[in-house]
Amino acid sequence: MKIKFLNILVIVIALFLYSCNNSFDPLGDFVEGYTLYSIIDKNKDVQKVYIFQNYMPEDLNAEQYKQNRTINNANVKISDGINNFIFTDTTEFIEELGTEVTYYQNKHFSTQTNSLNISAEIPGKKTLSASINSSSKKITFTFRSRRTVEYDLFSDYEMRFTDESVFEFLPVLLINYKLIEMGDTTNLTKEIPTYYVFENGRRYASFPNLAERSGYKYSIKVIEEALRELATEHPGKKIKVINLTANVLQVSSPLNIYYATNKSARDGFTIKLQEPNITNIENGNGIFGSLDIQSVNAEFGKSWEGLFNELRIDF
Amino acid sequence: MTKSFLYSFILKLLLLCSVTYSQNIRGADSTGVRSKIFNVFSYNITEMPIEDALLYIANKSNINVAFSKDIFKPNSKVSLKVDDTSVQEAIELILKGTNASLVPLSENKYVITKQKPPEPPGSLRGLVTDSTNGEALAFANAYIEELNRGASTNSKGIFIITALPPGEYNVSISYVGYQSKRIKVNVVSEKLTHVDFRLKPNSIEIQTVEKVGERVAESNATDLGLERLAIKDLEKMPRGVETDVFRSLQYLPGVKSTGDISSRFYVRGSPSNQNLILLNSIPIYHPYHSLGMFSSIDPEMINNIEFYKGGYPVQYGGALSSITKLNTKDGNKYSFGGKAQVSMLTGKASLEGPLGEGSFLLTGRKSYDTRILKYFLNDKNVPIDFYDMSLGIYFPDILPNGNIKIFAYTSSDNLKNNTQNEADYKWSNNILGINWFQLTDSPMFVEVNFYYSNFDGEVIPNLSSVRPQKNSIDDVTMDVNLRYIYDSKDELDLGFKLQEVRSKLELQNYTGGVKDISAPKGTNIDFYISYKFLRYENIGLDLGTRINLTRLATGRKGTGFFEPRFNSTFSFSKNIILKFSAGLFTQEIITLSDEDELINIFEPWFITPSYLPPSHAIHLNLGLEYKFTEELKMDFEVYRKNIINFATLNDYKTSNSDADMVAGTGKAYGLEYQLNYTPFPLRFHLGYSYSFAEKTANGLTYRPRYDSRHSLNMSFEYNIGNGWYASILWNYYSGLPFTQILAFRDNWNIGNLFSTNYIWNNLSPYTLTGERNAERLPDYHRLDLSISKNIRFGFMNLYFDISLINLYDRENIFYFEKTSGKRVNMLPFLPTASIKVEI
Repeated sequence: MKIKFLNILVIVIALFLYSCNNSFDPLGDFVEGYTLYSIIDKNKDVQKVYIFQNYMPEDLNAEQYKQNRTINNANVKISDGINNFIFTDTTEFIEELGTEVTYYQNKHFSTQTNSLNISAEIPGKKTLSASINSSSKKITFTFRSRRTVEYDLFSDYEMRFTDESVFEFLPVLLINYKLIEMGDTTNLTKEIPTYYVFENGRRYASFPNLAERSGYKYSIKVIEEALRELATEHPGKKIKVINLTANVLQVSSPLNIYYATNKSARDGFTIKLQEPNITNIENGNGIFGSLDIQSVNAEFGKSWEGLFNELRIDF
Repeated sequence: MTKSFLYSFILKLLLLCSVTYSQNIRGADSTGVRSKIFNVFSYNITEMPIEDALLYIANKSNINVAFSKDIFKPNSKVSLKVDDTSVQEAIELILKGTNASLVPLSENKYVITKQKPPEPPGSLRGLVTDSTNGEALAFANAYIEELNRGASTNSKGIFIITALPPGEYNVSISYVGYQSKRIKVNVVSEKLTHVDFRLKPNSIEIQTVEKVGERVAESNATDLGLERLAIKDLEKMPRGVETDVFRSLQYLPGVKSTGDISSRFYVRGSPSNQNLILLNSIPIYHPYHSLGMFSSIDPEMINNIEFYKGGYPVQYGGALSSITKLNTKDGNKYSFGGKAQVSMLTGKASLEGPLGEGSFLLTGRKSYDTRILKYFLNDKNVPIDFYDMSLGIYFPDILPNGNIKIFAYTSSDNLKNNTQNEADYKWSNNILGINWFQLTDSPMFVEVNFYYSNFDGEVIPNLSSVRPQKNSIDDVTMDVNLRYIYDSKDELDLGFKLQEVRSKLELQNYTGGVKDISAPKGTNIDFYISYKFLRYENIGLDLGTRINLTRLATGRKGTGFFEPRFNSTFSFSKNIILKFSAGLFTQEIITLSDEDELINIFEPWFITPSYLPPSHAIHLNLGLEYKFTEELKMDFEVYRKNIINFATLNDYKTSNSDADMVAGTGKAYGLEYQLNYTPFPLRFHLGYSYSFAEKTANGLTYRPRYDSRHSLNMSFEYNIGNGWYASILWNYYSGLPFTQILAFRDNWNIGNLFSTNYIWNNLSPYTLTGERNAERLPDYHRLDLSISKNIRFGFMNLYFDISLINLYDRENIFYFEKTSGKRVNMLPFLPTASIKVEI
């Protein structure tokens, strides 16, 4: 019996010594690759394309990696089937990154069709490409969306459309205002949230998500709260409120999925080893998409005057 | 009495009427004739009529033998050639094979009578309880000395031994920690004799070392893959923060964990959601507190655990991998008592006592300080608050030979952050069940369960961008189970189950829409039948099937399926037993589990959607048990498991129209070895497994995260005496799989679609990885030490326990942060302590 136990003991010690090695290599062979991002804003003339190459910091700390990994000298173009739009290199020093970067831009972008194809040829390497349909639903705001908004705490401001069918959009209601300081005027906007939550003397705002819906409502109470918040944001400066802008933002697929996936936070406790990779770029990663913003202005009615006076905001 | 008188009368009559011959008989030859019957003779008889042979022997030995000729078949002849044999032995040899027997009347007078026909056998049933509180003692050993037969008690303390020749027997009952008892029992023909055995616990100083659950003389028991554990044993092991029933299972070969952080366990290459946890036969869907770090089952309420790691019998259904049946205590039937305990995480208390003819047990546990959880989760605060409570009320003999137990349980976890910017989480289990256990006048018992089990989980996003989630499952089930034990020792099991399940799993998709991905409601009607051939001493066969008339997701006729099961045992000798089991198993209630999540808050449960077929598993197991001595035993087992229609989260879902779940396949195989050496006052256990697991989903085959090749556990327990107890546990497993990093790329986190013209402040690294789980992390090992002391202090028992976790401070890797390369380890050296007061 003693010999049996001795054998077991020897095996255990051998196993223990063997298992003392606590090192491992988390790295496999480096894979060269490229990532392209471009979101075409259909209402703008200037469009940009960004191309990055894969990287591997020596200390594996990617979060602290500051070296430039953008690609220059690529041949980038977007075609709408009728015209080719050539994108040219632009090099710029970015303070946040502490390095120069290269991106591509076209300052006269105006497509005639919704079918867009991008190609980015990286000399001696790969050609990245993607195709999207950039069409969006044309909407007409109802009178309720365009009306003068009155200061009635039991009422709402509604984004409504003549076609009441459901479609995917992100509503954004902005307060347009001017900031006047020493004779200089700056035009700014403040987004109105869906609601505020007050907790421990602090104000937390919740903004709407990209979702399928037929309209959207903002309560007057929340608009009032946004104005109160605005009044405290620029101490010592003069604020002049101009009006409200209701924006309806639509995006192409799969930018909608990419946006929603990136925006969804994980809880602070779940430890996930791998995040989903959503891409529509052939021969690489990234996203090529488009967005379209349609908007309407609404005015503040005279009934707001008392509040503006209280907040010392010009009207 | 009448029969005995009649028999005596006939005997005397035969003696008077008997004919005595004195002449030499043909065919006989004799030498060395002696006059006394105590002397020995040589006989040589060849083909002689039996009557003549008897007379010849009588003459030769000078005795009188009386018999009636019609006792024997006409013309029956015998031969006998023996030397140095007494007359009595010679006559018995002559009578062998006849229906007659020799009865001595006086020194030289004998009568040969017809043998009495054997009386029909009787049966013995016993209930084994603790004499101090009336608690049933499960898996106690019952042993009939005269017949070398035995049985062990079931989870309700009952044993039944059939086919016993009528007569008086010495029945010994033994159980770990109790003084063995020996009782004379009179077994009556064609009757079931019931005996209550009340065992007295040993004093603190003297503890027996008999292993709980060891069966006596049941070499043909068809129980491959079954492990029986008593809660008393678990309490002696190093306990981490506190005793955890699921962590204790992880020390058995074939059962794996993915580290110190979680008490979830993985059995033979299956994910943890393929384990069915039954609390008094009631499924408990999410039996975990605090992100899965601890089980929500307070050991204080548990009497014993039956754990099947594969090939389980037809009585159990609804899981692909394993069954863990937790049987609760009934409560003290004789006096009131209470316990209070504090650990570094929870405070708990229990109260028990008589209630009318029965008893009750109330337990409660609540977290009060979660700072210790920082050690488990990389210094992260876990603002969690949890509790669990149970109440069991036991009514014995409320019906003739029938008892009823009502059991209620609730657990709740609330993870509430201090700010609205972060999401809150809550989940709870609620259980209510009635168990009716009925013994009958025949060797049969019937068990009826009626229960409700509920799990609710919710993610409340507040102002964060965490997506909301709502999950609930409500399970209302009635089952009836019957076991009949034949005089041949064979057993028949019949059962019926009617289950109604409602489930809801509401998830928000990327368009903001809320969708319930579960089949909302399902009805399952199933039967089972099983016949155990136990009539042969060395062979046991158990053949049976579950017959599911409906599929849960559809609840319609014509969608049912069979689940055949086969268990067998071949005993080569008293020391070597070979066992084999095979079966088909089905699971229809699944979880939405992401295998890439090392830790998650809770796994939502739901009915497999109807677009997926139900998941099936085929188990094949072969085992060998070898008993070197009573103190040294080993088990060896090989297994193979194939999973078909493995319901798996669709990793490639990129649009709303893609399915949330896909059907994959899985396979696992391996071997397990277990050695137990228990010379008092030491107990040594060694468990080793060598295993492979593989999964295929979406066309990709990979090793799951819990697939480790080698696993070794060793424990030494030492009863020092005088209330002191020490144990050491060493746990080793080879590296778990991980996926290598190949490169990083920039990921654009589009926080605001209104400002997409500036990308530079919204970039973060995205990790590009290699083949899934193709590489291995370093090996894991850990040494834990525990010392406990029990003190009798007036009317109180005090229990002190100190555990030293990870004694040599091994840096076992938990994971590495892929974007910073930071290595995160599991538990460092961690001393913990607890105090328990028992009145």
